[in-house]
Parts: sequence; C-alpha cells; structure tokens
Amino acid sequence: MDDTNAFFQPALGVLPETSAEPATVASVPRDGVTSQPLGALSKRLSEVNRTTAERFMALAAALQASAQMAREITALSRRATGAELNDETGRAITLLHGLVQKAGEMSASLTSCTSRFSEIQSQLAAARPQLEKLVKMRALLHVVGVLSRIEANRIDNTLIDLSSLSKDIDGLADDVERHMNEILSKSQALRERLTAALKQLSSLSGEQSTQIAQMRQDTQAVLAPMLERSQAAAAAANEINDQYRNIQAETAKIVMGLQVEDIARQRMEHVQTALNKVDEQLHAGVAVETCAPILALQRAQMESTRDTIDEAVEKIESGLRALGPRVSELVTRTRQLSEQTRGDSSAFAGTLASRAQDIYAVCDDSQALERKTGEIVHGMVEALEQMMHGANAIEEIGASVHLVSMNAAIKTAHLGREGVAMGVIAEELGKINRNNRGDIEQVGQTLRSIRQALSQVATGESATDDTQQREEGKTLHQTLDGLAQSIRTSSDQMQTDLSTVESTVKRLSSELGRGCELARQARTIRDLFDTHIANFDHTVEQIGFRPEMAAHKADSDEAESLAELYTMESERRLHSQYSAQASVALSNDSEFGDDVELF
Amino acid sequence: MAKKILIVDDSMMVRQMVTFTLQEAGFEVLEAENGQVALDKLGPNAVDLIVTDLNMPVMDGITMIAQARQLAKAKFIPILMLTTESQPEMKAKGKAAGATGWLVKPFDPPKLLAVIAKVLG
Repeated sequence: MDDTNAFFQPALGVLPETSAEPATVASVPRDGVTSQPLGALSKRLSEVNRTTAERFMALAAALQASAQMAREITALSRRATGAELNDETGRAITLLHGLVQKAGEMSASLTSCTSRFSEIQSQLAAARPQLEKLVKMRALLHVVGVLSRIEANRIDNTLIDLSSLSKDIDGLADDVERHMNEILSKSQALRERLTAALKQLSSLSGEQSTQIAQMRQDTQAVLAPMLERSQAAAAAANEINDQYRNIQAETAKIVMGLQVEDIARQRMEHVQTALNKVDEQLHAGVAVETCAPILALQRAQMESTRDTIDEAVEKIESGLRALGPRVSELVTRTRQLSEQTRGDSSAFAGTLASRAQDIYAVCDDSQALERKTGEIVHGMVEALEQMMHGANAIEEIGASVHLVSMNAAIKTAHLGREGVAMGVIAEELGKINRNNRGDIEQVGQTLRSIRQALSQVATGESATDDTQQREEGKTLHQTLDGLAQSIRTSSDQMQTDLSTVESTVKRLSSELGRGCELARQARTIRDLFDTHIANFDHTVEQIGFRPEMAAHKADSDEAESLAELYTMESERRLHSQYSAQASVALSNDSEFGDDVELF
Repeated sequence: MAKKILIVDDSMMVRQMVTFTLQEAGFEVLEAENGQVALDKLGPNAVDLIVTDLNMPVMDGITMIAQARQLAKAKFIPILMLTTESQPEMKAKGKAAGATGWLVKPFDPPKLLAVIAKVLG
C-alpha cells in the first residue's frame, strides 16, 4: 500500500484551543511494551483478529460437518423413496412400449401378406382362360404340322426343304404341349398352395391376434402401475430436491456470514496501520489535535467492525437454528413417501416377475409364428419360380412360332405356283402367332407381376430377423426381472435407509447444537472489541485526545491519503463522515445485482 | 468430467467457503494462497476457471491475471475477481489486466454459481 506519510502534515490554526497542553509522546505513560502507545494498542488488536478467526473457523467446521450430514440424509431420502429406480423403470417402460408397437407392426405385416396372397390368387385366376387358350395352340400346331408334312410329300422340289419346316412345326407343337402341361400343372399347384397358404395365414392371423391381445394384456398389467410408480418416484425426487434446496438456502446464509471474518480482518488491519502511522506522527511531534479526526475515525471503524461481526454471528446462529427444522421437514416427508412406495412394492415385484415370464413366452410364440409365415412365403416363392421356367419357355415358343411362320411364308414364296397350298399353311401359322402373341405376353406379364409381389412379401419377412426378435424378448425379460429384483431389494433397503437417516439426524442435531453453542461463544467477540475500544479510549485519553477535538473533519489531503488504505465501501462510507471527501457512487447494470459485473 | 476451478485468496476462510460452495455444486477445486502459488499451480494443472482475490501478499490478483494471460493454457480461461474492492478504477484495472468479471465480497453462493455457470457456458 502507498505510504500515507503525506497525510500527517500538521494542520495549522484549524483546531479550537483547549485548556490542556497539547499531548506529546513524552508525557504518555509507558506501557512497558513500547514507547509508542498507539503502536502497542495496534499490536494488541491482532488478538481480535486471532480470536475472530478461531471462532469463525470453528463455525465453518460445524457448517461443513452439518452440510455433509444433510447431504447424506438427502441421498438416503432419495433412495428411501425409490427415486433411484427411476432410470431402470424408464428403460423397462421404453422396452414395453416398443414391444406393443412391434406387435402392431407384426399384425400389419401378416395382414399385408394375406392381402398380397389374395391378389396373387386373383391374378392367377384371371390368367387361367389365357392359359387354356394357349393349350389349344398345341392342337392347332399339330394340325398344321400334319398338313405341312402332307404338302411336303406332295411337292417334289429338291431345292426347297419342306420336311424341315414340318419337323419344326411338329417340334413346336410338342414343346407347347410339354410346357403348357407344365405350366398348367404348376399353376394348379400354385393355386392349391395359395389356397392352403391363405388358410394357414388365416389361422396364424387368429393365433397372432390372440398373442397380441395376450401381450397387450400382460404389458398393460405392468405398464400402468409402472408408470404410476415412476411418476410418483419422480414427484418424490422433486420434493426431496426442493427440500434440499431449502437446506442449501440456509447454508448459503451461513456462508455469507462466515466471510465477514475476512472482511473484519482487513478492516482491523487498516485500523492497525492507521494507528501505527498516527503513532509515528505523534512521536515525530505532531499535535494530538491534528490527528484527532483520524483517531475518532479508527474508533468508529472498530465499532462498525464489531457490529458487523455481531450481525454476522447472529445470521450464522440463525442459519444453524433454521437447518434443524428444514432437515426435520425433509425427514418427515421422506418417511411418508417411503411408506407409500414400500406399501405395494412386494406385490408389484411379484406381478412384474410373473408377467415378465408371460411376456417372454408370448414373444417366443410370436417368433415361432413369424417363422411359419416366413416358411409359407418362401414356399410360395419357390413354387412360382418353377412356374416361371415354363412361362419363359412359352415366351420363347411364341417367338419360335413367329419365326416358323416367317420361314413358311418365305418357302411359299420360293415355291411360286407350287406353293399355293403351302401358302395356306404359312398363313395359318401366321394366324396362330397373331392370335396367341397377346396371350403369351399377358401370361408372362402376369407371372412377372406375381413374382414381384411375392418378392416384396419375402423381403418384408426377411427384414424381420428371428434372432433379433429373440434377443429383444430376452432383453425385455431380463430387464423386467431385474427391475422386480431391484424393487424387492430397494424395499428391504428402505427400512435400513430410514434407520440410517434417523441416526444421522441425531448426529446432525448434536452438531447443530454444538454449532449454536459455538455461535454463542462467538458473540463474546463483541466483548473483546469493547475491551479493546475501552483500552483505545484510555490510551488516547492518556496521550491528550479529547472527543471535542474530533469535531472538525480531516482536510482533503489528509483524508485522501488515508482513504488509499481502504478496500471496502463500508470503510469509505465511514471515512466520508470524518472527512471532507465525498464517497463515490457506483452504478452497475449487471443482471446479478450491484455486487457483480461481467466484462 | 467435473470442471476444475482454482480459488486464489490469502484468506483461509474465503478459500474454504468458495471450495464448500463449488464442491456442493459438483466442481473440483484447487486452492492457492496468493498469485504466485496460483501461477505455480497453473503449470501442471488444467483448470476451467479462476476465482481470485485482489489484495494478497507476494503477488496480488491483478499482477497474477496479467501474467496468467501470457501463459498459453491460461490465455482464454475465464478469471473472476472476488474482492471487497468495488471502485470503478480498480475494476478498470482488472478488466485491462484480463479479468472476465468482478464480484464483491461477501459472495452469495447461488449468485456465485450463476455467474460461474454463465461464464463457463
């Protein structure tokens, strides 16, 4: 800190005359410690700081011990009301909701599958007339084949090979017969399979409905009370948190009060510094009258500090006293909430474990059902694939008929007048091609469309992974079982926790009692201050100070240098009463209040 | 991971009360009794915020802040002054040295925590 020697310039013609001679250091009785009485007084003031520090540190220790116990009680209270099970309960609720949703999806999947199969059945039925018409193509080709053979035998032309045309036509007829028989038989098999599949799906759908209903029932049986318990536990946790915040509000007041020790220490150090300086001035021959306002100010600072400490101790004691009832409120509420939670815990845990088993069984059955559905779909896909071979062959035959008819037309043209009859045969082949081309394309398209539809159903079924479903069912079972166990354990633990709470409350009560006693002892700091102030009065009287000497205010130069000692508004405010210097007003726009500013 | 705060104050009581308040709120706390010790502790430790007094022996708060701002690891750490001082000139000095904010003692625990929450984002 800056040297304030400049302050101690003798003030000329400022003080009223007194009857007594101005006091000098030489006339002051020695106190046996030092020849500078104010210096000695200043040293003894350190006792105030030491005692204040001791008392306040003891109070701080009481606060910390009490706060620790309050924290323990709060943690136990949370546990005793089941609040800590909330995360586990939340997970179980999420899984159960997921299960219900999945059940709905499975039902929709099966319905979609059934609907697709019905569509396919309709498409196959619609394709039947075309297939029957294609069967007749064989007979027509056979007749054309016979006629072409006859004509080939009749026409004696070595340049144009008509026998191969006959062979081609015969071959076509045979192919049509073979493939159409295959398609018809496969189509019949597919239709029968579809009918059987639809019957099975209908039965599975019935089974599934039962499963879903059972699943919903089992789920609901635990979901509703679980949600209720979860909400109650969350409300209990909030209540306990609110109660704890009330406790923290009281400890915050104590924390603020305890910080006064540091503030008081600083103020007293400033008083000590000022007294030492005055002492030096007096020793240097400055008149007491000159230093009088400063001495009066130091007395005022000591009184103010004493009062501040007193106020702080009162606040601390009040805070300690208030903690007891706050904790009692918390404990009372904990007992009530714990009672409510424990009430039906055992029964609920039993229900949960039993339903967990039921749900797991339903999941298992559901998984089996899914597998069956998958098998049906894949069987259908296989059957259709086989039919598709025949359909592809028919499309090729259609192309072949077209080629053969063109070949016949060409040969007819080459035969010239000889080929008139062959021309009729060629024309007939062309007619067969034209009449059946549309049907062949239609059948091919229908079968491709059916294949696509089946493929979509098969893809949907594949997406439902058996293993994953099983794992999910297992996870849910384990979660519910685990939760049931946790509820049982927690319920048993609650009684133990409540006992621990009671014993901790007793210890806390004892600690708070001790803290209040320490606060009462801390009040004696006031007496210590009073003793030192009395000592101060005696000492300054001995050096010639008279109260009326402090009537004038210290002038601005003196005051300014003394003011440099100060670091607190409270000191400066007091100082301004004893000096001509005005205190500086502060303004602050901080959202936190006058005592906080963010840059 | 808990945020770490360094409290710098020559008063054991203030250090204890700040530590008590911050630990209750879940912070990890380091203590230093003056600016020099604080700088020494900044060396091996990574802290998220510093709360410092102004008037301390050996090294005062403003000197400490100015030197801390020269260190790479403390260049951008929020630094709050916690002091009995409230004069605008002193605040200006603190701000010029690199302080982030200014709190006047005695601090109110909820307010201190609110300010810290604000500067830590």
